[in-house]
Order: sequence, then C-alpha cells, then structure tokens
Amino acid sequence: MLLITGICIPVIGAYWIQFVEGEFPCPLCLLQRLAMLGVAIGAMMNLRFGVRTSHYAVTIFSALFGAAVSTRQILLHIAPGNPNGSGYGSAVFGWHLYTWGLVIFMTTIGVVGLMMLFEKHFELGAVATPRPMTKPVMAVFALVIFLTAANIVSTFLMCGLSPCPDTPNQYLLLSNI
Amino acid sequence: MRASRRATQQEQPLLHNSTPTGFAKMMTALFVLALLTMLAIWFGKRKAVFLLSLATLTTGIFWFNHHITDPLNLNF
Repeated sequence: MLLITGICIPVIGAYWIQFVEGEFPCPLCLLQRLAMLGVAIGAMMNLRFGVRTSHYAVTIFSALFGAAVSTRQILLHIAPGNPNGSGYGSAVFGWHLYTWGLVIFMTTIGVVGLMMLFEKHFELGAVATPRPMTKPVMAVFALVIFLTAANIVSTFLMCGLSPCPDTPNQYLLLSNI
Repeated sequence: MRASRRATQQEQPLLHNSTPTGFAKMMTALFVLALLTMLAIWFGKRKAVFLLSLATLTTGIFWFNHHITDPLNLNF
C-alpha cells in the first residue's frame, strides 16, 4: 500500500504542474505517467491476489519502461547544441520532472529488490485467488483508478483522436469548440 | 518568479515512422488499457490482468518507439 500511495504522489504532482502551472505534458511525459500507473498495478496485484514474484515482475517491467522513457527525455535536453538548454517544463527542487521520474523508477526497482529479499512474505504455495479487499485497500485502489481515469480525460482533451503533438500547448478538443 | 514556458504553436511536419494505427492511434488508449487492467484487478480476474498488463506495456513500447525513431521538431 505504501508503494501505491507513494507512486501516486508524483502523478498528482504532475497534475499540479499541468493545471496550476499551465504546463502541458508531452508524449514522453504521458508515457512516464503510464509507467508509474504500471508500477501501481503490480502492487495492486499483490494486495488483491497475494504477494507473488510475477506481480513484482509487472512492477519491475513498468519501472524499466519508465526509466527508459525518462532517460530518453533527459538525453534529449542535455544534448550539445540543444537550443532549449534549460529543459522541458519547470524544475521542481532543481530537477525537471523527467529527471525525478528516472530517480523514482530506479528507486522503485531498488525497493522491489529489497522486498524480494524477504522470502517469507511470498505465498508461492497457495493458489492465487482474489481475497476480500479491506476499506483502506479499496480506498487506495479507488485513488489509482481515479488518477487513471483523470489521465484518460485530460489526454483525450489534449490530443483528441490523433497522436499527441510533440509539443502540446492547448487542449485540442476544447479549442475546436 | 518563474516565467510560463508555453510553447509557440507551429506547423510540424509528421516526421515519425511506425505510427500506431486503429484504436492505439490515440495515446488515450494507453490509459484506457491501464484502467481496464485495474478494473480487472478490482473484479478479481487475474489472467485478464496479466493479458491487459502485457497489452498496455506493449502498446507503450510501440508509442515509445514512435517517439524515438525520428528527430523531433521540438519547440519549447
């Protein structure tokens, strides 16, 4: 639950940047948001079906994907001759969001690695059946589902039915009204 | 005070190759797949969760490939 709650914080922060600061997420930013939701999916599977290595694998694969996207975005903005040397978007505590993204994804992989050291919490012998959700679990699940649904709405408003622009600066669907 | 960093709107030629088609043409589709995965978790459908997770990740990789295969005409 801590992992799910923790990974929701940067996603909520990204929404703060989008709606309060008025800075639109680029396609690579959206992919990083997706990767964070993927990290949460693995943790949700642990809560719903019991702790298993395959569920941690979902988290690790999502974090690896997110790290690759973050790295690509960092390299784009530190390449020599980049006319926009200050990077994409505002910095938060001195680093851009994609740099924080790489830190978060690598930290996630490290945390999952640490968790996998503790063999006793794995339930490999039991059949993976869904277990009843407690109210705190349901609340955390609802938060993640809400954030995902919010991403659907905001991405659809920003990009419509076509691929997202490389440098979005408006909500395309709203601008056509 | 931080200045707003809105990009100026420019006509951008389509430089990418490997553009996803069909439903996946919308980046929104990625988040729809993620939502379906979470709903499958909520309703306890473990096999569907794995299939949808795989679909989400695969589609994400395709979108990532779309965005890294050509120089981007970026303007911030």
